[in-house]
Amino acid sequence: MRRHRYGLSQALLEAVMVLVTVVFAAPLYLLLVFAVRHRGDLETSAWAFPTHFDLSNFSTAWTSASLGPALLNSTLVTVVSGALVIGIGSMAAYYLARSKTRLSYGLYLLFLGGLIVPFQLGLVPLYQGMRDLNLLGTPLSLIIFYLGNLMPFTVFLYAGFLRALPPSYEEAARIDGASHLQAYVFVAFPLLRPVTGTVLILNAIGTWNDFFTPMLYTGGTKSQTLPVAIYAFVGQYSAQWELVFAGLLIAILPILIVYFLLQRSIIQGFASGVKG
Amino acid sequence: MSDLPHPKVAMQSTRILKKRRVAGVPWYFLAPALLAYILVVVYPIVAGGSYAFTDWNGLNPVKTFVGLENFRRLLQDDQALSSLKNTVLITLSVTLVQNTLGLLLALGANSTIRTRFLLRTVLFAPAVISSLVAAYLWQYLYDPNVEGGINALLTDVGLKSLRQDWLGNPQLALFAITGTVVWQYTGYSMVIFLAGLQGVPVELYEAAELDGAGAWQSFWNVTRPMIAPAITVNLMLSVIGGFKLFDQILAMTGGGPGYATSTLSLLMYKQAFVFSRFGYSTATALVLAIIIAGVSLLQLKLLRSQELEG
Amino acid sequence: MHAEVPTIKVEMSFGDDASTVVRIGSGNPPDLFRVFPGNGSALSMVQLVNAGRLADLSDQSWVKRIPPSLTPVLKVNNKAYFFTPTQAVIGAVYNKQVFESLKLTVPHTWSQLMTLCDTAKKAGVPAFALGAKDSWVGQLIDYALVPSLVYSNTPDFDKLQAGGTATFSSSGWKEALNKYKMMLDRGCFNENPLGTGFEQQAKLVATGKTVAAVQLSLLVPRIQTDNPTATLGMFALPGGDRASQLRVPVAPSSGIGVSAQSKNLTEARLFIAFMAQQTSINRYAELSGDLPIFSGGSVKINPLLSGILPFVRAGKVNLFMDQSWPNADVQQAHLAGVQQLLSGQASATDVLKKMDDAYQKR
Repeated sequence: MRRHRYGLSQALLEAVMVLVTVVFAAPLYLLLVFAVRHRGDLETSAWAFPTHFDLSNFSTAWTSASLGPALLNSTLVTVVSGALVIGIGSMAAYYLARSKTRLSYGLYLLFLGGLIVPFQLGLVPLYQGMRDLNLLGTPLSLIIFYLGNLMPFTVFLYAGFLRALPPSYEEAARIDGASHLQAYVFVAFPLLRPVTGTVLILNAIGTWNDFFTPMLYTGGTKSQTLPVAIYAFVGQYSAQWELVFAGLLIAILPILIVYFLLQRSIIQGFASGVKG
Repeated sequence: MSDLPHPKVAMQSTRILKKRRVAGVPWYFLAPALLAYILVVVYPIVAGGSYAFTDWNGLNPVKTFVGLENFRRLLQDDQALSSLKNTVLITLSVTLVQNTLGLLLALGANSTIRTRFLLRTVLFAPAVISSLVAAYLWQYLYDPNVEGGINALLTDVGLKSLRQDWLGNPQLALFAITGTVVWQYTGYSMVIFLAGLQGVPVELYEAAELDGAGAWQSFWNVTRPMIAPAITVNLMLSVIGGFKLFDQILAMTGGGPGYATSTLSLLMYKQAFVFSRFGYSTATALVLAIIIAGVSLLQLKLLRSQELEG
Repeated sequence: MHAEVPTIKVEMSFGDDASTVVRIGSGNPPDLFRVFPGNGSALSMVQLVNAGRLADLSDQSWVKRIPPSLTPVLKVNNKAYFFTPTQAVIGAVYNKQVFESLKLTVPHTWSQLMTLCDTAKKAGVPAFALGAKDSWVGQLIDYALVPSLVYSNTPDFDKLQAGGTATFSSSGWKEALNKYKMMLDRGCFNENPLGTGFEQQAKLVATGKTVAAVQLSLLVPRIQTDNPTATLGMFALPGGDRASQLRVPVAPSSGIGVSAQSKNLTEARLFIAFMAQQTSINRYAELSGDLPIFSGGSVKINPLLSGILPFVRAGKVNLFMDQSWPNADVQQAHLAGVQQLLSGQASATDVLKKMDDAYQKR
């Protein structure tokens, strides 16, 4: 807030902030420390920094829980549904933001409704639909599921951003002879990059971590996703914490890596989203 | 709900200009998304929602129409009432703690402390991991028997008397779960507040300082109005999220001990899969949806007014 | 068995009970799935049969072997719809080394049990590990006490209750729950039982932090993973003051049923027939540590159960109570009620009243 000197008050603030952050990071630290411990090692204190790193827990967790195929499935589903929903969701939001009719406002509210209603209401009919189309046990069932369910949030974020974006840019392109699609893809969409970053990572987090639907659609099959594999794994080995934590760590590592790489753009996306 | 900052006059002239320009965005921009949404979300929810008016037990292929019977029973069900109470309680505590902490951290991260980018990244990280993983991790921490749990830590630092049965004590369990949720999402709230704070021009603070305003007054009169949209977003997200909380509760306590952490979402789950009352469960889901919608609309109204007045 | 069995490919799918219910309810059931004996839960035999979801297996040869004592929970209208290879036993699984080092003896009456608790407590090792955080664990104590306190003087309690002349509140159930609370107050259990889960319960016994735990025999493999050198035994938990009152809860474990809508009925039924062979039963019993459902052939009964076998042979056994309850609400009231009893939120009277109310529910 005060932007001038780095005096005592600043140093104190920094110390407090660092302390709070350490407390927040502590559980993750514990996760790491436990995962590299040798099984059955009850002597040293749980919080002590490990002297040797035993990676056998990771390999055990990897094979027992079949994490390799699960990881591939999660990646496939997350990437494909994420890309699709941004593509067609942003276009829909563009339509709704630019069109000022009553109907389009109504449709916008229809999309927003999906943010509030618990998805469990549609659980059984959708399951029956997937069954009738023979999609159960395939990644496609999940891709379709997320495509529909991520739509409200995606449309909401894009529409909010688009409303604040003056249409003059696209209109200039249109006057120059571009079609609507060209104007959108080459002029408007690039301007949405901050929001795209935010939507991408938030959708990816949601999809990657989702548990109940993948369990229902792909549980036990070779198309099962990472959280489902982890759930079965934890159920089986529940008190062997070193193993469990190794498995949990593998499950969160990919998404954490992606997060650390993209975190600037997430925060920027939030900034623009909030102002709009 | 459109809040274009343009004054009315400019808006009208823009509209007239628009009409003279090229035609509006074609329908095929909207079609694919709308189709996917209707097929995957709208239609199943409407079809599924209709179960609320039957006595379907989830197993039997036959569903008999029973009208509003499920809703009548719901109003008299004292388990439902206590679940509602727990739902409200956890929503309120999560919202309060998460947003206060998030705001304080945002204020701290908005300063010129050297580590602010690193801290920001670390604080947001828990929001990225799966709720199930967070729940398992915290279940370990709350376990009174393990050597790495909170109780063990308290013993190690000599604070033995502060040990609790975090998830086993019916007075504490709900708040222990609150702790897990807050741990996960405080960084999320913080980032949203931070975005709002970064939009506040420095000159305003300097002007306030010149006028002799203290830290609190500076915050209340300068900062708060400027971050009003961030407050709105955060409060709405926390409340809706709080009402829908499920994974963590199921994984950490299953609704226990007794009924201490049984919320409406958990009740819905049990009604469908334990008691074989799918129709009744759907009715509960509908009621929950209506409550969330009502609370959200109310919240939006109240918060929007604080945005405008600020 | 018969001459040749064709090769059948069995694909295993994992899902919790909730997803099994959804699969059955939406018409996409697995060919074979887990079924619980009797009534009392969504996936119990009675509920599934009433919904027409289980295939009739009565023509298979093993059905004739079902003894009359098990018919109430293994058959509906004298037809069999699922098969289970074992019977589970509830008792006090104890660590023999700890037992001997504390100079404890197996109790046969309630007062002897109390003495055991006190001696153990004084030595700093609580008698029983209780993992009440997992609600299904908490109920095992009263399940162990109820046969001695209810069925020893009222053997047809279930029939009376179904007929409306007996209730939980006015029966030995009250004494059972009160004694349960007494055990808690007297320090028979570890600290924080409501914050301790099933896994931790096993660990407490394995590491010698408690003497024993009241559990199903399935606890044994868990303990042995943590402590392969532990020698374990099981004794029946006494509830009354006369050793003759002592009865043990022994009941069929969950088994497998065939979906009535299965498209592979022949193969699924063959699978069941295979599982029902005596050799399969014996092998399953050896692996799980439980009692085989039918006796015959050579089988290595879990040595742990040697203390219980006399009761089984004398017929001093009772089925698990929930298998006779008419709906799933009673069990839920029971499970939640036990937790509330332990935390002091409800008294035995309150809990039993709720259970009686739930019994009446449709």
